[in-house]
Amino acid sequence: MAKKLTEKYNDSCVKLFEFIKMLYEGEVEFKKVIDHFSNGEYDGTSNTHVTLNKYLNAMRIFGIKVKKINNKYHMFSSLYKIKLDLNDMKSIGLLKEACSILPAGKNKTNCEHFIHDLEVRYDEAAQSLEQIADNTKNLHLSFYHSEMVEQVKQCEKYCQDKLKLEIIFTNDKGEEINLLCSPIEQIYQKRKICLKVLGNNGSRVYEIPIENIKSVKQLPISTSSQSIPTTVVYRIKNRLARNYKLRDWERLDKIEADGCHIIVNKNEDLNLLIKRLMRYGTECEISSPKFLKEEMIERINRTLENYDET
Amino acid sequence: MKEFIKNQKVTYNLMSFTGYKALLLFSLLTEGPKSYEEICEYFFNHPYLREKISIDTLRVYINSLRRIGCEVKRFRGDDKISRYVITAHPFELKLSDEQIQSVIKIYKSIVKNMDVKELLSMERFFEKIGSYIKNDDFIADIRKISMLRDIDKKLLEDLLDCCDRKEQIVIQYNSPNSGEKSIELIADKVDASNGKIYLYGTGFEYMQYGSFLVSRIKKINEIKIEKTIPEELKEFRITYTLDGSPDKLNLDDNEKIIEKHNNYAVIEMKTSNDFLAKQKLLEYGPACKVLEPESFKNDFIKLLKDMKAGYYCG
Repeated sequence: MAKKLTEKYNDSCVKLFEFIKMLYEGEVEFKKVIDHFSNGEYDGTSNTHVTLNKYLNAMRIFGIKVKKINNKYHMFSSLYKIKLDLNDMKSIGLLKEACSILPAGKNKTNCEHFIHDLEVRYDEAAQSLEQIADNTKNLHLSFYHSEMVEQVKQCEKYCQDKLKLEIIFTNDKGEEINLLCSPIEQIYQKRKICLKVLGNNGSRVYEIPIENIKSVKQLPISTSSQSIPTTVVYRIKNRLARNYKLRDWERLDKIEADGCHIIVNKNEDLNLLIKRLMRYGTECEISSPKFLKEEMIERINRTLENYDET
Repeated sequence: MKEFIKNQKVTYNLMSFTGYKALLLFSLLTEGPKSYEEICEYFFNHPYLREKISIDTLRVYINSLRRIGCEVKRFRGDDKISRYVITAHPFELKLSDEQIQSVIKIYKSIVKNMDVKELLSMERFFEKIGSYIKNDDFIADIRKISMLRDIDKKLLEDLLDCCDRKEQIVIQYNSPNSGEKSIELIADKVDASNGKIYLYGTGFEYMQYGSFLVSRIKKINEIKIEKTIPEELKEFRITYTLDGSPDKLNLDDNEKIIEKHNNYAVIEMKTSNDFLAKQKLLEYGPACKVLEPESFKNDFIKLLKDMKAGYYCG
């Protein structure tokens, strides 16, 4: 390879491609460009700017869109293009939407760079499709964009700060709950963004939709790394056992002689878990912890009370 | 440049021909292998060039491309003709390991907010990006969090098409209860529930609306030309009350509010599958009360009593 690089080459070609490389990295100052083409010897009188114009025209005629804005060169369409269809553009739109509500940080920056690197490589079809895709976004996070974006960013910060929180939020029934807890992470599910926290009492996990949060007070106490979320063990049988797909936070403990599966679940919001297990009817029974088993019985009893049956 | 835009003519005063030829050569060699003759022919027929290049000039251009980081390879084909191709270059899309982890983190955060069509598009998009960045780990990491990892994407695409057209189809299904069998149904929708992808539709075997795990569907055996809506299909209406502000309720396509009150609503559900209906209403717990029909209501109460008995007798 070293031998090949000593062979005769065309300096103008190399300069042109190096300029394009610079444009791929982002905007380039006019001074830097003119220095590049004049080997740092531009004194305002040489004809380097004429040469530069010729290169810029060659690029434009070839199809590379370069514009000078505020004395900086920007590339809007590149030498090397990636073919993207409408579905790809919609996917990029979704990623952009998700990225836009992330707080400033490593993930946001990395993702923005990825999207920029893609955008600069759009082919002509992708560039025109971008407009259509912008109008057909479907992540349904627009509510968060307009109303909750600051709250989303604040919640992400709470997770990073790792300090205990006192949260007042409303539950499904509209009741106000005051909770002392440790923030875990922000999660996006079922078209909602929730703050996942670990309660102080009983190490119970809560997933609170951020629009239900009335107030948050950060306490000057670090979250304890020793807090362990409640482990729930339940038995499933028959058709459910045959079809059950374990979640990432679950494991199959054992299969009993009668075909029942014993599932161990950690780190799920117990309110949501109890609703999910209720769906399974007689094919699922909670084994432990005792308090959750009693909550389930209580829930069944209160449902039966609707029919004057207990 | 204005002159060019007006009459599409290029001159030496207008642009750098050397630069333009280098750009053309880069473009040609990234498209695929080209022989010297093919490159000459392309340049000769090009409306702005109309000239051939010598083999020495071509070598100088290729050396220049190598100098800026292009991997230009020359190989001799079965036809004994040497061809040049660019196999890697500095303008390719690249993702650092840290960027990959951030993109995966963002995907993970939205994966549960997407419908199945969006999921499918997103995964196809990632596959495409994976091929551009030439990184197998990226695709492997995406698969780890994918809801579609056990699913044949082409089959899923076909099922989505059938649902869009509400086709009557016969699927080969690996049932956990009765093994592999053919099932005829009218395809309605493909949806994700609890991390799994289901095909919903009216099955002819039990004459009711049902759901089928897509990962258990082997193939579509047949798409019927004419639809034959089964006469035996028994659809019934369930009415129930549900606590909460009526304006904030999320109803399914087969449901509608028939009465609105301050803190509850009366809802009518149209279904042919009492199993799915019971599952849905059980999840609501005490917030929901079945009103009609009487037979369904009695079954529902019996189910609750059996659940309770399970805890005391089990």
